[in-house]
Amino acid sequence: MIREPASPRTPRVIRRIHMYLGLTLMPWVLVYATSTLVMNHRQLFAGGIDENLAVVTDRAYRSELAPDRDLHRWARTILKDLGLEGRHAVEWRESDQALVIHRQIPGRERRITYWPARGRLVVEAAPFRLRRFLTGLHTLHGFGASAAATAWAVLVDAVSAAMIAWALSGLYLWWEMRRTRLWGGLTVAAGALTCAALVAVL
Amino acid sequence: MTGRVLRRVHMYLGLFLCPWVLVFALSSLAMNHKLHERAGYRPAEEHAYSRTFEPGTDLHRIATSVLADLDLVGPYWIDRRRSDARQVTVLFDSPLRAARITYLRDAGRVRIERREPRLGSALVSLHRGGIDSEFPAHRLWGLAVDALAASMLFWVFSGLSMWWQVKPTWRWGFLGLAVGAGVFGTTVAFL
Repeated sequence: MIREPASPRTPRVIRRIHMYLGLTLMPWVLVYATSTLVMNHRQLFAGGIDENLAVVTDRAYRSELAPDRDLHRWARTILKDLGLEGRHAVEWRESDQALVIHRQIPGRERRITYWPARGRLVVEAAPFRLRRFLTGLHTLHGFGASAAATAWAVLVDAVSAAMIAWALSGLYLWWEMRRTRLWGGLTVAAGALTCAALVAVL
Repeated sequence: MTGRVLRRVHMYLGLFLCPWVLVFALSSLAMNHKLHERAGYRPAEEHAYSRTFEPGTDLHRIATSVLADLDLVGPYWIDRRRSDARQVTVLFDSPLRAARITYLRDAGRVRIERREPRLGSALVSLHRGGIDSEFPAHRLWGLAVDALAASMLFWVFSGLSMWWQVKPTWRWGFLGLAVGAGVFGTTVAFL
């Protein structure tokens, strides 16, 4: 156990904010860090959603495409009928004239295929995979797809703001420690120059 | 001694990677609010283009050749909605040099539309990995992204260790951990 050094009030408050933000948002930091490693090494962690899909529902179903031929609105109607509203991608598959909806639930993705001419609808579920759970959470953003997705988007904003707060409060706390200013200053400069050089050639 | 070393590594890693932390935080905000979708393209400039391709040539082969001839090296997407037998449209992604390139087969010309310079779009173009990329600069960026991700894990565990050494903060710390885990679990369950 160590005792905290006596310090002026401002750095102490900043240190506390830096720490409590980190403790509270730790699950998101862990998810973003691990999923970043997974996504950065795609060849190592290959594998798509199409592997081992299991049929959950195969039934008769009727839904008409609106005159404006808006596939997204059609997909939302079908998802609502199935109680599966939320973030999704949609495509029209020409080969067998089917509407294919990918319901993006991190780690529990569903593929809904609807053949309007045959009046048949199939829902398939992907088995849980940690890799897809992590990357699914990482890529989930944006407001409005559902109440839970909007809540997640608010949290994404909070984590992003916290990252900015950690960077700025970290810089402040470093600056308050006079003995580390030289090496810290060199480190900041090295990081900034490396980042700027990479951005310039990307 | 160990605690002091941990604090120093925690701090110096943060100081070096500070630009990446800011880039990824700001680009997350931009993506979450779709700020990058607001950027349009500047008026087109057209140039004669002498290279020809056999009918049926793979679109990616055409795209890489056209981009290489324009000295644009990096990731791209083929815009299939704007591509047909007469033209191939390629979206070249880069934080500072992003452009929409259209190769007009019949006319033997290329049309270049540069993306309007907007901070949100540039940041989102940087929100990427790339360790497996075929482009050396992107592999280097991917290396930095690996370093950032590994450092984030280190910051978590070193942060926990440093918190644990300050007993007066245990109560509020546990509360923060519990609230965070609870909100995370609840939200994920309803996604």
